[in-house]
Amino acid sequence: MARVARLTSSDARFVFRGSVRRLRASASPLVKPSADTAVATVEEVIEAPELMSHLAGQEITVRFEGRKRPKSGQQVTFRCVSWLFGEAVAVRVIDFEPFTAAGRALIVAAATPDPAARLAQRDAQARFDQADVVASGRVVSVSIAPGSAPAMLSFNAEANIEDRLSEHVPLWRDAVIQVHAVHKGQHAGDTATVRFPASIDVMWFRAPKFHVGQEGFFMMHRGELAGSKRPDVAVAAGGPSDQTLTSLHPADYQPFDQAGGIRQAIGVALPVPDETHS
Amino acid sequence: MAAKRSRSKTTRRTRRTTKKTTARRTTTRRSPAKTPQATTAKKTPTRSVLGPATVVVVNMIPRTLSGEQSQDSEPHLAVNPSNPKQIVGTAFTGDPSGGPHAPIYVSSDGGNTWALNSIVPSTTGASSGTFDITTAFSGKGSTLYAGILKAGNGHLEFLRTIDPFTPTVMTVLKDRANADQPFTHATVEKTGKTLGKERVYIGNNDFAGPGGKTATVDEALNAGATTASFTTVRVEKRTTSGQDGPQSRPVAHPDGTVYSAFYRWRAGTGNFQANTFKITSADVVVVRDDKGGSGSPPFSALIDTDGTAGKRVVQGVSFAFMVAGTAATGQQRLGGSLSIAVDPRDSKRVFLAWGDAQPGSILTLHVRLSTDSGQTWSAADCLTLPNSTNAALAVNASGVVGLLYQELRGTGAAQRWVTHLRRSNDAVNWNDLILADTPAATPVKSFDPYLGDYDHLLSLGNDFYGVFCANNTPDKTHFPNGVKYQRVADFNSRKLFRVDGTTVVAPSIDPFFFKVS
Repeated sequence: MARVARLTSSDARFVFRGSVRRLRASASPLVKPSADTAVATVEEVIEAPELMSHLAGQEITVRFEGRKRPKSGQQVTFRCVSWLFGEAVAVRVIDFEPFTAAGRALIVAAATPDPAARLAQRDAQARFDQADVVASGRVVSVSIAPGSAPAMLSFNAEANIEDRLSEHVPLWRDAVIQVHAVHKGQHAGDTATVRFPASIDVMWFRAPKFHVGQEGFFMMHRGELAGSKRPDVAVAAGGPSDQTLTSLHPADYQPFDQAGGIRQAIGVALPVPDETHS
Repeated sequence: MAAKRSRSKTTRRTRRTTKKTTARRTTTRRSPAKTPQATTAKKTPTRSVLGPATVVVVNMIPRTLSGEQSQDSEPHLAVNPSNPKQIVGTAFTGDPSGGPHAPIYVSSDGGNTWALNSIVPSTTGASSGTFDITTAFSGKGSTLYAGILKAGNGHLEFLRTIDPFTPTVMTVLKDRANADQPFTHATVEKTGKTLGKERVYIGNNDFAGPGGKTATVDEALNAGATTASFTTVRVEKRTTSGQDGPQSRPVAHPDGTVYSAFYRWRAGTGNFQANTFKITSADVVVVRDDKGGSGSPPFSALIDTDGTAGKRVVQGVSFAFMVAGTAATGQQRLGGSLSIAVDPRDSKRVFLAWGDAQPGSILTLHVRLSTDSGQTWSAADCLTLPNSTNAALAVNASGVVGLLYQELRGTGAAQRWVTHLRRSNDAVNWNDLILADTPAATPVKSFDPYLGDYDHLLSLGNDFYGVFCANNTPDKTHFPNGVKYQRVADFNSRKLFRVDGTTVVAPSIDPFFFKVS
C-alpha cells in the first residue's frame, strides 16, 4: 500500500497573513472542531490562484497537518493547500510562522501586488530552476514527431503498447526553434528541437502549443517524461527519450511582450516602448 | 385531487427549501426567492405508465467557488447503499488551490448541497485535479473506492477511504501504467460464507493486455482487507484489431452474478491524428461470472455460439473514434458509448445500451434486454435514440429501467445538448424526462472531452440518482424540471456571479446531480 507523501512548504498554494481567532474551532458546518482545527481571519492574501485570491476579510477554517500550533490571537503567515469548499472554506496548513516586519518587507518588495501573479511567478521560477535549457527564439517548423501516435490501428495483436490508441494519446510534435540567445544551460547550434503534445485532451491541453512564427522565451526540459518519472508516457508513441527536450507546463513558453515569468527569472525587463514610434 | 395533493406537497417543499437558502440570499445580489423554480423540486406530470415523478436537479459547484469557470466535465456518481444521504461525485474538477490532492464532490444530505473535499492523490499544478475518475461505495460503512488515472503521470490507480467526508487522503491500493477509463463498481456480500466482504470491480482498457486483448476487469474480492489484493482479469477472449475499445463496464448483482460489457474492436480505417479514424467493425460483448468474480476462469460463464466466453450481442458495428470533438458533434468527441445494468430483483434480467453509427446520426444508442442472464437478447431494440451519447443504465428495486443520455439537437449555433432520463417498467413504453436543454456551441471547449466520455446513473430502492454535465447558464428554460444552484446565480438576468454578487462570471461546463423518485 502506497503511503501518502508528506507535504512541504514548497507545496503551499495558498499563502496568507492571518490572525488566529479561535483554537479548536471551525467556521465550516462540515468540519467538526478538534485539536487540529482553528478559525482564522484572512487579513492579506500573499500567494494564491485566482479562485482563492479574493478571500481577504473572511473567516476560514484551518487544519494543522503538523504538531505545531499558533496561539490564539497570534498573527501568522499560513502556508496552505485547499481542503474543503462548501458554504465556507477550509484549508490544510502545511506550515506557518509568526508574521514579522521582515515578512512585510518581502511582500512590499514583491514585483506585483497580485497574489495570483505572485504564485504564477513562483511556478515560473520553479520551472526555470528545473529547466535544462532556456532560450529565446522563433519557431521555424513544426512536424509530427518521428514514430508518434499511430495514424491508425496496427491490426497486430502483438503490437507494442505504443501502437495502441487512446483518447489520451499526446500527439507529439517537434518544434524547431531558431535560437536567438541561450539564457540557461548549454545548447550548441543555432536551432533547438523541442517536443510538445498537440493534443487538447484533458491530459495535455495546458501544455504550450507551438506554431511557425511564434516568438518568445522557451523553457526546455530534458528527460522530463522519461525513465521513472513518467514511464507510461515514455513508452507511449513517439514518447520523449531521456535526451529529448520537452515543454509541457504552461509556464514553459512566454511571448516577448509579457512581463514577469521567464523575464524575471533571467533578469531581463520588458523593453521600454520607444516613444518616437508611438 | 391527486394534482391538488401534488401541488400542496410541492409548496411545502418550496417553503422548506427557501428557508434553507436564507443564508445564501444574504450574499446573493438578487433574491433566489424571485426564482422559485431554481430551488424547488418539481412534480412532473407524465403520460407514461410510471406516473408523476419528483425531480431534483442540483448544480454541484459550491457557493464558495462561484467564481470558477473551468470545464468540469466527465462526471460520475456514487451513492452509499447503507446511507443514501451520503453521495460522492467526481468530474475533471481541479483542486481550487492547484494543490497536491484532487477534489471529490461530497454531499451528506442526499444531494441537496455539495462541497469539494480534496482527498485524491494528485500532483501539484496538474492540468486537471485528476484525469479519469470513477468511484463507488461498497455499502459497508462509508467505505468508498475509486479508480483513477492520476494527474501528473497518468497511472491507473485504485484507491480507498473508509470515510470520504474526512480530510484523510485516499489510500493507493494499486498503481500501474498504460491503462484507460477505469470504471468502478463495488458491493458487499449479503449472504453466504463471505458475508460482509467487500467486492470491487474496476473495468479498464489495459494496453498491456497480451495479444491485443485489452478489455480488462480488475477485481478485489476482499477489498476491505488491510492489504487489498486486486486480480487482473482479461475479459476479452477473442482476437482483436490490436486492442479493444476504452469502455469496460462491470456491474454486480447481490446474488454473486457479475456482468461486464465491452467493445471488441475488429477493424478500423482513417487517420486518428487527422480526426478521421473510424472503427469499421466492432462487437458488443457481454461477459458474466456467477461466483462474484471467482469463477474458474473468472467471467467465463457466458459462452457464445463459437464456444468462446463472451456473448456477442451485436457484431460488426461501426462508429467514429475521435481524437477531438468538432462543431458537427456539439464539441463532444465520440468513440462509442456503453452501459449495462442488472435488475436487483432478478439477476437474469439485464439491460445493455451501446452506441454505433447510423445514417444521418452522429451516434445512435440502442437498448436491448436479456431475461436469461445474457444468453439471448431481444431481437430488436427496446429503444433507439439517434444523435445521442453518454448512455447510462440502471434498474430500480421495482424493475423499472432508467436510461440517462445526452442528445444533440439542431445545427450550427442553435445546437443544443438535451439531457434525458427515460424510464420504463416494461421496456416497451418509455417515459421521457428532460433534465437539461442547453447550448452546445457555448462555452467553447477548453479541452476534450467537452461533456465527458461518460456520465452516470444508479438506483437505490425506487430512486434514480445520476449526474451529467452541461452549460451552466442560469436559465429556467434550460432546466424544464427545475434546478437548484449553490453558486451565486441570477435566473432573471441569466448571469453567474462571484461570491461578491457583483462580478460577472462567464458560463462554463458544470456537473449537475439529479434524483428522480
